[in-house]
Amino acid sequence: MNYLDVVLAARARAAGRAVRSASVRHRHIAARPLAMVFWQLGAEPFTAAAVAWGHRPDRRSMAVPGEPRDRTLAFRALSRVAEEFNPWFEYGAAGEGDLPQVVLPNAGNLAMLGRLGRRLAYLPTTGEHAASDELVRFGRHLQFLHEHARYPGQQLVLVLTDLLRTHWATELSHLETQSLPALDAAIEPPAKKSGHEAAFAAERVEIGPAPGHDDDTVLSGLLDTFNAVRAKSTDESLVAPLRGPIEAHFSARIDRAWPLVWRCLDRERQLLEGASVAERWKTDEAALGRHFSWAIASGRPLATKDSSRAAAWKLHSWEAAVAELEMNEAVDDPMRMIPALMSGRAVRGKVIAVDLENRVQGATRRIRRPLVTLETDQPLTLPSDVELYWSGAAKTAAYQIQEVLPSKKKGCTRLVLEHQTQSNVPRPASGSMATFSVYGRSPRPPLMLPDHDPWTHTAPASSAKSDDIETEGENP
Amino acid sequence: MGSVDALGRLEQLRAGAAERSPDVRTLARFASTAQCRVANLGFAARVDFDKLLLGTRFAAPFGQSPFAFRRGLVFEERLRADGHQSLFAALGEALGQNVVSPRPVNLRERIAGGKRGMAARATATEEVVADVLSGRRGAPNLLDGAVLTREVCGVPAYFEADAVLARVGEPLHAGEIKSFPTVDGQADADKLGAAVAQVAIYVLLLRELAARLGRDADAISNEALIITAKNTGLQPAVIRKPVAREVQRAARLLAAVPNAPELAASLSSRTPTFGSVSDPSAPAEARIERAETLLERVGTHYQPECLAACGLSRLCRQRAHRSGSPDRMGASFTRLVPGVPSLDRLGELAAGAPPKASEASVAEQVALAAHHLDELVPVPALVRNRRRVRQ
Repeated sequence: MNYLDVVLAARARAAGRAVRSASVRHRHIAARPLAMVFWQLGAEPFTAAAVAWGHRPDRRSMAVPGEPRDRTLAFRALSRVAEEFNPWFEYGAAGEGDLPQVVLPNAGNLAMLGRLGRRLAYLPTTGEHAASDELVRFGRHLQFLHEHARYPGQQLVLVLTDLLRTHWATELSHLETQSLPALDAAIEPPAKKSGHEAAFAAERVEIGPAPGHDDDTVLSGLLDTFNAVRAKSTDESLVAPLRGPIEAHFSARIDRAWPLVWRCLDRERQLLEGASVAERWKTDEAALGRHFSWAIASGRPLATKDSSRAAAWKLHSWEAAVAELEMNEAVDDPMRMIPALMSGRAVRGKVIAVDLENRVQGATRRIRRPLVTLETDQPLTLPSDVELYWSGAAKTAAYQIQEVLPSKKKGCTRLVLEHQTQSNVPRPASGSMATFSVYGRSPRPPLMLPDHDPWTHTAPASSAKSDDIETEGENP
Repeated sequence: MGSVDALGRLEQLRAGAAERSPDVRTLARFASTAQCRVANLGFAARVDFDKLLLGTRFAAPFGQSPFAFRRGLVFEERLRADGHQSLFAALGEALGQNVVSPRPVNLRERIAGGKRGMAARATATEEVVADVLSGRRGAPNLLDGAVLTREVCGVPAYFEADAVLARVGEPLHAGEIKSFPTVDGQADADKLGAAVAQVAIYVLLLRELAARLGRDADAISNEALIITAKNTGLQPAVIRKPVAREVQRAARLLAAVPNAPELAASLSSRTPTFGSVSDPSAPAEARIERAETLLERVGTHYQPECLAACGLSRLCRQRAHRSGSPDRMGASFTRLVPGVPSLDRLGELAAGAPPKASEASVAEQVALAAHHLDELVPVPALVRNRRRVRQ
């Protein structure tokens, strides 16, 4: 939260609806993503009571086990999802020349993805309770997506509440923006309603995965009937006709979520994509490639507990991702540069002179060091030894402040910036407005780990127990 | 302790509104809204806030899934079956001790419910805790269904504990039974947080009781045991959580709450009662109006966290919205704008309105941000109008 957010919130209030907090779209939206919506029972977070998935607003598939606490029925329903998910995730999207992207309505659905992945990825594929390869692979994909979604700025998983929060400022508190219906209503309230009123009405609409207020009371009766008639049988020909009322229950709830998900996605699609987004999409592609070679080629699941070495690497790469994202967004989007302008990490002004032929004494000979003179009306709070990058070409060499001069224009200062390269790289044109900031090609120090883990970081040898979390004889 | 008259005035204010359940869970929930005077008053008057606005558009959607309820019951029954056998086993394993002779006491079974039952159970709890703390051989080593007493908001009250007190080695541990699953040593953060808050209150009440009995409060461990379900089954998995900070925080919060009888006595006799707000025979709009008057006269402290803890929170949010209060946005926002009463005023300051002395520093920042916004950023293209899909 910063003063830009404060002003945007005040403007959202005055407007009676959300205002844009970004001038470009900071996430990639794939041409044909897969939307998924999960439902669970009140106290059964590791099993799905319903799953809906599909590539289009007007068409969706749905899998409902009937009794999600019954392992056989639950896995049968999830296998149906896996049979469609796996081919699309592994080859289908690539066949269309794109990466597979999964769209989820809210953070709860992302957590559900992770839990299902955790449950399925370690199932035995041999023995009495063998699960299908398909189901286990599905679990590993979900687990990978959940893990990858923790990288700031990644784009393989789009959680819509996060996506909308990135692009809009509202009067809602953080807690309230967790509800996609409320957030959507604040952004685009129906005619004659304020964003506040619309969000107030919409927040009662539950779109999963946790059941809404009275949902489980209704469902409880349906399940009791279902279980009484099937009498522990899992025979598909018996249970399929019995599932009707339960499917209708979830169908009604999914039909509330489905159009909402696509409407929110389409609204963001209209915004022009930021320049660095494609670059991060490449990073996602590399991560996906590593997952495939690990999950499919090696056939081994991820460790359920990180080694200290793996944990150090993860933390390092998360920190790198945070810095990279902040930099990308600020460079791509003048609105995201404002906090930097206000906190002495950037300066904006008019370029009044560019001297390409300036030379300084180097170690052995005089070398070219072009000068850019910037006139700014901002109070200058930059440290004198700061390295600045021109946002028009942030990946080229840094500029250093060579001189600060008074300006004839009232309230203005002139800043002479020396470009630390003699190459012919793009530079701002004289007469144009330009922003120089700390956001540029700042190499992060590499992570140096010792060859052997120090004794403080070695875990006691764990007892070789299975990572499978199934329990025998616990079905209701 | 409040006088009879003061307690009578509290009873008058409740005026037939539904009573809250007298348990540690409710006290833990109250602690998160303890800065609010209406919450203080209502808690001391034993009002169930969740029911006050039922039937109006501001009713809070709190409730428990029947699946969660049943799962909880089954899980607790299993742990308590055969003289708490599996509970002893789980606690023993977590603490690295072997309990040779389990001697549980379940006050819920021994003493009937009801108000008189609570008083009797509170007395019995003191006796059992004194006995356990004495270190006598053959003293009970597990107390279930304890009832503790404490003065909150200047009014003495009973609190029934869901958690157990166990003596598996020294010191004694409080253990809360929760049926949510733990996988790879991790449980749902929100659920675990709520459990920790509850057990911290229980630990606080126990430590106070130990001190009253002339014992060292440290005889009760500051480490909470949360007994959860392991993986997808119902075998117990114990999570150990240090709660010293939570216990201290709860003690500080409860020590700082104003005296409710004094608060009640200072209210004019025309202040609407809680009963008039919950009155099902009155029209919803009239009830909301009464509630607003009550909130106005007594004083509130709205913050977004209230939405998860209080039955009146939706109405309080509405009031905060109407006045444009920055409280509507949460602490990370209000910290940035001290001295500015509303979002509307922030908008004015951003547009260059002359600030009062107390607003000067904030005004400078918001005006600068607004200047940058207006100068740099082309107004983003408006979303073209589309017909909304009705929900």
